[in-house]
Amino acid sequence: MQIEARDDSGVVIVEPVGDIDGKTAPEFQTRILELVQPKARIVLNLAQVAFMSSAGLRSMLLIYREAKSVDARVVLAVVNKDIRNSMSATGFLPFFTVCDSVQDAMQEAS
Amino acid sequence: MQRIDIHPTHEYQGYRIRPGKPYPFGATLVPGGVNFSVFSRHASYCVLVIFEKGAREPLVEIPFRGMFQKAYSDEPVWGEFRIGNVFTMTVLDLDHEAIEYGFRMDAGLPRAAAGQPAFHRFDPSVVLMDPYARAIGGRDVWGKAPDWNAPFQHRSRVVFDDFDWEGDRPLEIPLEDLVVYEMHVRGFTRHSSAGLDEAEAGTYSGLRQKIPYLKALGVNCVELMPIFEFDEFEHSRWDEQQGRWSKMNYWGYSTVGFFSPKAGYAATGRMHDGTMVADELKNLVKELHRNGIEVILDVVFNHTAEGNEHGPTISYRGIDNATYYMLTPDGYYFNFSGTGNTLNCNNPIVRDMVLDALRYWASQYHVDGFRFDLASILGRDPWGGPMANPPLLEALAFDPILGKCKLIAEAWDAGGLYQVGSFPAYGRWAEWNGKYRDTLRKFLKGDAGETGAMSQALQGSPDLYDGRGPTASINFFTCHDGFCLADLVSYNDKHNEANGEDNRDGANDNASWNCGWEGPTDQAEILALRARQMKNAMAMLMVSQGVPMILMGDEFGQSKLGNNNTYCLDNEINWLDWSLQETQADFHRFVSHMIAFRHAHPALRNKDHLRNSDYVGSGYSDVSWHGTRAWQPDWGGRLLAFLLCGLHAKGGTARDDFIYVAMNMHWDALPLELPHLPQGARWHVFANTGMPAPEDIFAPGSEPELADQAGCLVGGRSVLILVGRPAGK
Repeated sequence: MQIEARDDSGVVIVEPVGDIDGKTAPEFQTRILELVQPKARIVLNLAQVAFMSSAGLRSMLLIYREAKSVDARVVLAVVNKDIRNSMSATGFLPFFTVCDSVQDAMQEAS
Repeated sequence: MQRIDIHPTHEYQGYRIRPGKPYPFGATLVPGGVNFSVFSRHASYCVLVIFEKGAREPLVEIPFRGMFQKAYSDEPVWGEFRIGNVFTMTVLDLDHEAIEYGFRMDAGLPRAAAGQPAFHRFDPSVVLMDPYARAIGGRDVWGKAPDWNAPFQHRSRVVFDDFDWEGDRPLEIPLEDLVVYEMHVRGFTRHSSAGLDEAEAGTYSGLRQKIPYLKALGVNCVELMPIFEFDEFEHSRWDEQQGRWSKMNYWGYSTVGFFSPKAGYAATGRMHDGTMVADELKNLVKELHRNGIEVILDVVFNHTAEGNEHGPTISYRGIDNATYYMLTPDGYYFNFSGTGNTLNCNNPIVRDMVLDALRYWASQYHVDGFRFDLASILGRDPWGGPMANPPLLEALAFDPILGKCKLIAEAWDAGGLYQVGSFPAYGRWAEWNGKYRDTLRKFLKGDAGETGAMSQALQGSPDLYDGRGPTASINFFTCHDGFCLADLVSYNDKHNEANGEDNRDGANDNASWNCGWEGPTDQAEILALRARQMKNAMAMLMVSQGVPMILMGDEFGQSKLGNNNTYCLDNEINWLDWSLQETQADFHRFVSHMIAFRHAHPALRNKDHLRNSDYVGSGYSDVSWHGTRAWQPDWGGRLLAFLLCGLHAKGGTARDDFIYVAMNMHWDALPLELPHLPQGARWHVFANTGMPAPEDIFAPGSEPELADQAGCLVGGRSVLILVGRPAGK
């Protein structure tokens, strides 16, 4: 899976491309966890993620938990309706801060 | 440290495998792969069939016995992956999310022809669903017609069983404190008046969004009609005229898989992800618990969706017909369920499966209890005979994991076994009290001579449950089966034409009364009487000892147009019409106040039977019986009153007000002489169904004082409820 990460004034913006499912979730999780350093500020831009399976949801939650434990902050941006609905139905949504744009998410993260 | 058993021993067409672990049955995620385990006593041949999700043709078919390749080499090697009667292997490096699986089995016997009796029905041309499948694909979106020609219809999936419960656990509310709401997941929010998005309507997620409504109503337990995977298309027909499916299996009393939530009830069903469906249901349970509401599942273990000799082979009968089903000496299916077959519940294998399933729901889904459909079947031996000490019922009662679960029996079956009052209880089992229902209905419609039976029913039926206590009695006027409350007071006879069986289906004996006109009318007098009768019913139910259960929609007085068997109607007749919350606001308010009254008064919620004596020295019996004259009940008439002494509440351990209830089912108003209260206490009016709203009921705690403390008039076909407490309190 293609995952771009760049630093924008102290906030790490991560842009995965493709589905996050049983095949890609392990790699996705490993890559993001590398970025989850103490006090890190991370925006996960999901604009190019069309589908997220239950394995994907789990990797997201693990990332969130890890961030919390090292006082880092992860904010989600541009989550499509399908993924948002799945997250809501399955109870994953309340754990996350979700913003409609990367800009809002950056503000939220910093 | 890494495990040493994550390396393969064998290879088959590029798939790396090793001998599996027989327990637990089903497909389980293990380090490095998925462990498969399936029982068959009579099969000699078994193949694991793995599909890419949704694919028609398998990815691979791995036999449990035969020639393989030695792992990491080209060397051929014999392998047999079986322990006892269990076929088990671990397949490594499987993307568990991307696959579905099943089995083929055979025993080298002649094929049983469709429609013919047989002890064994092995057919290796059929891919069989795993009886322990934790999720099942194939009917992922409710009502979306499948490809009928696809060879594998109900497709086992693998589930990730972790979930963030955030500390949730079953609520363990004492049975006597429950107010149960029997409901249908889809029907609750499918109606457009529920105001939900199309994707959420009729789902677990939709139900979750309506939890505030349930909380406001005051119920603290939902009993979900079947949510085990079933096939809504079983017996369905395409209706050319209407341009839609008819005769859907809407209720779902026909289990396909005992470990799998109904995917079509999940908003996430369309994602074809078994774990997501499981997560959605778990999230619903978690949120209900957070709001103080327990979850009881209506479980159907008496039969499966495989029908009789003519039915489809989905799983059980292709895996081990003679183990899973009760068969006649000729090899026909016994039909104690009235639906074609009977699960062989007291066969040790099947007994363990039932136990495993219930433990799974209790531990993995935090379910608070179970209501067993046609539970008397669970007490029959493999030849159909009722047992005095049925091993399954005993095992359930004593099971450590189910130790705090509510166990509720529908204590009869379609084979004529009727055990209300005599269901083998082991100090654990409660029953749907069918006799309570019949007695209260007869009394409500004005039958004379029911007051004696009423006095028993109101006390939690000590005549039936002596030694078991009132909590053995689930009290109800109505349930999904039979008339709903509005129809109970609007129809003398069933009107089931919409079911397409010429009105032959459904019970004929309803103990209902139409109040003077069959069905809809605009005669104000009849409508007023019906409204009053509904209030009378709710009042009697909520002041009865035992556990009250109300049916979804009855709190609005929603009608089902006289249909008393709406099992096959996936339409507005069954869907909850939320607009009635406004149009029936008076009745809805009455019901919620009655529920609040029950919660407010421990004297109504005793764990043990009333003793009809004064054992705390209050000068009053815990319960006393009255007629138009205080202390003089009329055991032959149509009026009955009783007085609960609040100092006897909860066996004398709680303090409550005095509660006086007069139920006059005579058509005339009658004068009542009231029992005297202790000095300083005054009678206050909580409810009087003879009065128009809002004087028919008051919020508990704000009841006005009664003008004449010595007596009053109770209207014809009316219920009066008074509370006796110190003046000004």
